[in-house]
Amino acid sequence: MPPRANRSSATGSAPRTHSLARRLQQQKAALAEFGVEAFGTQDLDWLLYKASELAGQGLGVQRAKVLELLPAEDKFLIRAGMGWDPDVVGKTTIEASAASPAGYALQIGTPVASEDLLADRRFSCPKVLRDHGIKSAVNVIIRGKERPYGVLEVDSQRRRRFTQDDVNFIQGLANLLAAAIDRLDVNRRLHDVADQKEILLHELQHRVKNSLQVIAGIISLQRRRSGHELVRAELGVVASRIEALRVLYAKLFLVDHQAEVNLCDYLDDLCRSLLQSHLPKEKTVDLDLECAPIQVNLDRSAPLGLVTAEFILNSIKHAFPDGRGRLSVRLEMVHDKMARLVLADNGTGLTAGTSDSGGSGLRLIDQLARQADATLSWETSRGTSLELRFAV
Amino acid sequence: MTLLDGMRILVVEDEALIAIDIEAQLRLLGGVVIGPEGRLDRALELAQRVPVDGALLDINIQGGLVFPVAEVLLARRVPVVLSTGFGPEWLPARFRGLPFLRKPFDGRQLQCAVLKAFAGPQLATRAWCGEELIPGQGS
Repeated sequence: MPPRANRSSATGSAPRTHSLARRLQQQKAALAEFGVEAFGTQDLDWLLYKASELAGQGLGVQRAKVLELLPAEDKFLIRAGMGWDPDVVGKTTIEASAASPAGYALQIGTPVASEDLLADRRFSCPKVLRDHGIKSAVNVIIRGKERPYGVLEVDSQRRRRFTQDDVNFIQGLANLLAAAIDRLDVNRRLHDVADQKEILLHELQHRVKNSLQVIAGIISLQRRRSGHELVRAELGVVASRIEALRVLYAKLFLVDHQAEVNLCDYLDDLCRSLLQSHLPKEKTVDLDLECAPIQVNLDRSAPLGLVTAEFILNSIKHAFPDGRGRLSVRLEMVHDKMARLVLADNGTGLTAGTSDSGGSGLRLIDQLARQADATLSWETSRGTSLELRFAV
Repeated sequence: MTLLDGMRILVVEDEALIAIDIEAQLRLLGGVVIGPEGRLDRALELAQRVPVDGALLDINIQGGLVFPVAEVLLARRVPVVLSTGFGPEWLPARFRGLPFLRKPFDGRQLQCAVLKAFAGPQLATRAWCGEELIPGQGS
């Protein structure tokens, strides 16, 4: 393999060539390591620290740092780094523009290596570098997609020259870092958008619930006000259908972004509400509800609720001419994949013309059962009973 | 004069209450309703086997999107009206030229769209959708 050959030839050369070759190997390894980190992590601070650490190690020095550009203040913040006094990282800022080597690098748009910072006429040497006795430094730009993120700087207390390989290595690290920063930024924005959508969704759900409540109220008000029995009856039908949806949305909750309802709870609330607002005062009807806790999604619960509302309203109106009766609602599993909903009354039995709204009640129940993908059967020997079977 | 004059209209719609309403409106206009059908597989079968003069198709139905049904009908040169709660910009390019009824629609909008597409624009203009339209007329 070529690397092995290189290595053995390096071992055989003069000590300087040997150490150069080893440094190059080390730098390559550092870039490879950082590449893996850069695209795996979600932790920006850790990534910035790791970049400084590998930059310093790759050049054989004790100090390195990531300077984040704060464009509004025309300054850099020492955002991460290794080898600095405790109050430096995250706190100290240095001037941008030609007041620092980093600012100068950003200004001219290329890497800047300086062997003697104090003597260099291109820029001034910031206090924090002087305080730490820094003699030589390399600065490369961390280029973001939209604007530079900042500068990666490697600092040496021992005066030294930096080779083109050194500079290339640091620039390579900075480029990987820039791509990772962009990726994290996009991730964060996507998360924000997803969070906002979630909030909107709940808000919307809440509003649907409220709107249905208001609509139910409007209809019920009109119904009570009307002096005509026929108008009251017709509005009653409308109100019962809206009620089926109102109660459904009040019971609905989101499971993994899928709207679901406990069908048993839903039917319980719906039946009670319908009896309360539609049963005439002179009639007494017992509600006998027995059901298993079965979860169904919105697509199926809405038509099942509407069928139940049609059935109950029909029974209240027509099944109990002598003013007393019993309504029963049964929800159970037939086997592990099939559920059965049985609605029954002990009234006078289903007769032609029983239903409201121009005879469309039965037709509606039929259509709703199809929508719920349920098979429908009627039984009218003792009272009326309706059975819906559906897969769950 | 009944405007649809016995035309056979396939209705694909999976929301039962809406389906029943559409059916009643088309009957009022003198149409004969095939369906309403809310499941993709069954709608496809109807589109392939039953002679129809026009179709009103809800896009998002049980079992998927209605487009295969539209393909079959268009191949048979049956005029199609699409309907959905989303805007026409969501449609695949090849269906974007079709008459489009945005949900929620009221009775008059339904009648206009159906008459224009199935009975011809002249009749639609004269009967329901022209300038003579009296405000509040319709459903």
